This record gives sequence, structure tokens and C-alpha cells, in this order.
Amino acid sequence: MTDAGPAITISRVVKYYGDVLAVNDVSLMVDEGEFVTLLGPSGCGKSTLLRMVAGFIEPNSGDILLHGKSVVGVPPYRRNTSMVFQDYALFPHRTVAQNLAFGLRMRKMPRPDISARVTAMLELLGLPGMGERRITEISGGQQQRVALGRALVVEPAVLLLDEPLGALDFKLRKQMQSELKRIQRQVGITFIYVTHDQEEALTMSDRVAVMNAGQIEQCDTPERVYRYPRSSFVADFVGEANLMTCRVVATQGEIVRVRNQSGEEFLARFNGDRQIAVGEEVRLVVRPENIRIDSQDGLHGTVEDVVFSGAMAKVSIALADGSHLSVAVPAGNALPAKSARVALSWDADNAVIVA
Amino acid sequence: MASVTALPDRTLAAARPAGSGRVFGLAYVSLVYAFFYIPIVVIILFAFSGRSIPALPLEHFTTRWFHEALDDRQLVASLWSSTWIALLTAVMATAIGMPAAMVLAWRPFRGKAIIFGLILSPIIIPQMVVGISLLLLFRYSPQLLGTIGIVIAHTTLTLCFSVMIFYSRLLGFRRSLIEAAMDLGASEPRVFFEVILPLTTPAILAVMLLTFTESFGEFIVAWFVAGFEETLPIAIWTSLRFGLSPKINAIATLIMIVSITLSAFAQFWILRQTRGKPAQPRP
Repeated sequence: MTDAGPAITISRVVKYYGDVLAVNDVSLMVDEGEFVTLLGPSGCGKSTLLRMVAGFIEPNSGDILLHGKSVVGVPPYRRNTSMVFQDYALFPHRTVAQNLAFGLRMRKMPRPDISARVTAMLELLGLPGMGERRITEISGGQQQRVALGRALVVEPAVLLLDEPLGALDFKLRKQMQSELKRIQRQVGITFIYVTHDQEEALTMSDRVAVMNAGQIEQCDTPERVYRYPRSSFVADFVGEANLMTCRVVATQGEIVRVRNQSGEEFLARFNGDRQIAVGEEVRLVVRPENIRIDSQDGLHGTVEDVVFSGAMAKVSIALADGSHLSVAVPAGNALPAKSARVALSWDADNAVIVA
Repeated sequence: MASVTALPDRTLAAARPAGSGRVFGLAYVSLVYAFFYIPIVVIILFAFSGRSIPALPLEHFTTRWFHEALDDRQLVASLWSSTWIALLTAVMATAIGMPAAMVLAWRPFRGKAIIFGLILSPIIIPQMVVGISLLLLFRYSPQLLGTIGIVIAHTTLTLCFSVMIFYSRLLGFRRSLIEAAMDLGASEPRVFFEVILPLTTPAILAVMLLTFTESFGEFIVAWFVAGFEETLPIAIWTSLRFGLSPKINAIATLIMIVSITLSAFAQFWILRQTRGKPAQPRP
């Protein structure tokens, strides 16, 4: 759309609410046309960060640049950002078309241009001919689309979405996820999306920034965030994770030999930027679906429970050192009996050291 | 009125008591309504009665008192002056009360409870006291006595109602609507005129009706600060010294017709505005 370079640069932003540190020294760059999700539990500072980009909140320190220009101190109505609100915030006293036209009217666009753009937007949203309806007369899913359209129609440099699908039921949410992705590809506008739903984040985003306690713990592609979490928080928040504490026995590049508390040894992987030392205590993550239960050799444990749940069965296993592992077995595979002795193994690539 | 009284009937229908309990209940309800409406009915009846003193029995039907009332220049002048004062009071109470309620409802600040107390206390101060204190105050600028003085006094009296009605309405106002408007390019004044004002119109109407009525009929405080101004209640009070003329009944009947029509229209309009609200999404 414009010259190269990041659409948004968030640089060392800090925000306090009274004495509470909501956003702690966060930096993030978002490229033109990229779909970035801020993912985290409630209170992690993701919405605060989004609202600082929109201009509803000013940071205590740090800078926010839109296409290379600082917008700190610029009121929301002079920033080229648009927001989709969790409760949609549609104007109940206006029709669908009037809601869509609001931003264009504020920009003093000539009337014929406004009506042309509104008609085109109704088409894009899959709501043709609905312009004259009142907001109270359309369904929740349709309201969601109108909210999206109202923000998109002004062609913002960045679209900010604050848990926009939170109020929809499960099926509609699934449908809107792919719809959102389609619309984003079609219009090519940069999206920053806030959610606490990890699945939503993984399916839609180009990159996911996982936030915790006011900081971004990891920002990477959905696949890398899932496969190579940088911290135990990320591992635990994104998908299901088995966390183990082990001691480093030997290192060879990225592959590390570790020993667990009951003296069993296996290989793991370390992607961090620091050096890892022999004798160091580390935490590592293995995903339930990456554990093999039928091997001859490996970690020994006892089956505690088997829970069948459709496509997967969940087997929980007690290890010799007293810790527990959860294993996911796809349907159709043989399931171990309760209190059977089993040996567990996994590829070194799937045991990721997080700290 | 009908829609309001119909509600308790419907909800009680399921648990209607039998026999003597039911008779007692009906008698009780009749008494309450009689207590409310007999004085009004009496005024209307006497307004059409041919006798020149309001006494029973009612004699032949006439509209003579209406003609006489509207021909009485002093009475009509006082009617206009009351209307004018009530209108100004309604506008003032709305213009001052709404911004105050916006701050109270939307801004967190220390000492809000104290501010609330200060705003509400005129309700419990006797109107006598308000009247005397305003009269003392106006001794320092006697030119204010009269229309302006009454408007100021009535604004003081009605402001607390105005703030409370706006406050309760604005508490439920979704903050995100304001943010959405700003986000889409509306500056603060535009947000006010495009979003806040249209969505609070029912409250504005309610406040205006209430403060208008309150000011229109208020006698005690107006009496203190009126100077040579004669509002309708003052005119009626003065004329009582020469005996109660049926003209008063006629003018009261006219006022009642106008105010009931007005509030019925307002009710109807507000109901139509607020219909279909449950379809709003909940966060």
C-alpha cells in the first residue's frame, strides 16, 4: 500500500495503571499486510497494548510508530487505525448502511462516493441489500460483520481487533475465523488481533505474540510457537504440554543430553540464544501427541488412567520420579491397560528445552 | 397511565386471593385511586358547572368559565409567564445537569459520594428555607428578582432530579460507542452530537418534562423571589382572597389536558425508541 518497512513499530512501551504495571517494556514490529495476534490470558496487557495503538490510552514511556511516524499524543480520531470492538459498539440508533458510512462521513467524503463504498462493503461482507436494516433487527453474526465492515471501509493503515469473535457461539466463531482470514487476504490490510483463545490465534495468524504479565514472551509463526516454545508459560498456554525438570549431561550443538530425577537419560533440543552448560538444571516440554507409548526402551512409567475422547485417547502415566505425563494416542491405535508398565520415548526434536 | 396500572394486575393474576380477601383488595385499590383522582375530577366537574361558587349540587353544564378565564388578561399573562419560566428552567436544568451527570457516571474521581450528597441535599431542605435564603441572597442584586430570580430558584430546586435521571441513564451507556465514534474519526464535539445526544434523547425528554412540570406549579420558592412578577400559582393564590372563582377550575382543567397530552406523546415516543433493544450484543 505504501513504502516498504513495518506498518507498526512498537518500541519499548511501558504502561502503568496506578501502581500496577500493565505493559512492561514491549517492543514489536508488524509488517505491511501481516496478521499478528496478541495472545495471552486476561490481564496480560494485550488489550492495553492494542488500545495504545488505537490511541485510547497513552503509554507512560516508549514510542509507537505508524508507517515510521510516531503517533504518541495523537488523538484516536486523527490516527489511521480502526478498531473492531468486542461488543461491536454498533450505533443502535442508525441503520446498517449508516453505521458503515459513519467513518467516511467523518472524513467528509462526498455522498455518492460514500454510498458506492458502502454498497461494495456490504457485498464483501456477504450482506447485500441489508443496508436499510436497523442494527437491532440483524443477528449477532451479522452484527459482527457490520462491525468489521465499519472499521474496514475507511481503509485504515492497521485494523485492530479486540476479541471480536468472543460473543459468538462455537460454530459461528469457526465460520467467522476463516471469513476473517479471507477478508484480510482480499483487502491486504495489516491486522492486529487480540484473543485469549490459542486455537483462534494458531489458525488465523501469520505470527503470534504470546503475552504474559505485561511482556511478550515469544513472537513467532504459529507452528514455531507451538513446536518450539521459548518458555514454559508459552508451552503451557499454547496447546497442552508436559513439563519436566532435568539436568544437562552433555551438549552437542542444538542437541542436549539430559538426565531426569530418577536417573534416566534422553536427548532434547535447545533453541535459545544463550549457551547451555553441562550440569545446569533445565525445564523441557514434550507435547502429549509426540510421546510414543509402545517402545521397547526409554522412560519407564505406570499407566494411571485412560480417557477416551473421540479422535484421541488421553493416557496419563506416572513416572518413577513421581511426576506425571499426559500422552495422546490417536484413535485406532492400541491402548495400554490401566496400571500396566510402559516405556515412553520421543524424538529429540520434540523435547524442547524452555529455560 | 393505563400501561403502568395494567402491569401489577397481570402479575398478580396468578396469585389472586379468594372470597373476602379479594373484596378487601378491590376496596383498597378503589380507595387509593379515589384518593389520587377525586380532587382532579372535582376540579373538572366544577369547571363546567353553572354556579358561580364551587358548591354542590352541580348545576347546568356551561363553558362560560373557560371563556372568562381566557378573557382575564391578568390570569392569561400569569399563565404565559409561568410557561416561559418553566421552559427556561427545563432548559437550564438539562444543560447543567447533563454534563454533571456525564462526569459523575463516566469519570472515576475521589470524593464522588460527597459530590452526590451535595447534589441531592436540596431534596431534603424545606422549600421555605430555600426561598428565604435565595431572597437574602438576591438582596445583593435586587434586579434579579422577578423572572430571572424564579428561573434561578427553580433551576436550583430541579437540578438534583435532572442529575439523577441523567446519571442513571448514562451509567448504562456503553463506553465503546464513544470510543468507536472517536476511532472512526469523530472529534469530541462530533461524538457528542452524533452519538451521545441521540442516544440520550429519551432521558433529555424525561428531564425536561419533569423539571417543566415542577417549575410550572411551584409556589413557595417563587413567592419569595418573584418581586412584581406574577406566575400562575401566585396569581391563583392572590385571587383566592376574593373567593375561589370557577375561572381557576377552568384554567386548571386546560392545563391538565395539555400536560396529559404532552406526557402521553412523550411516553409513546420513548416506548417506540426503546423497543427492540434486547437484540444488543452483550460483551
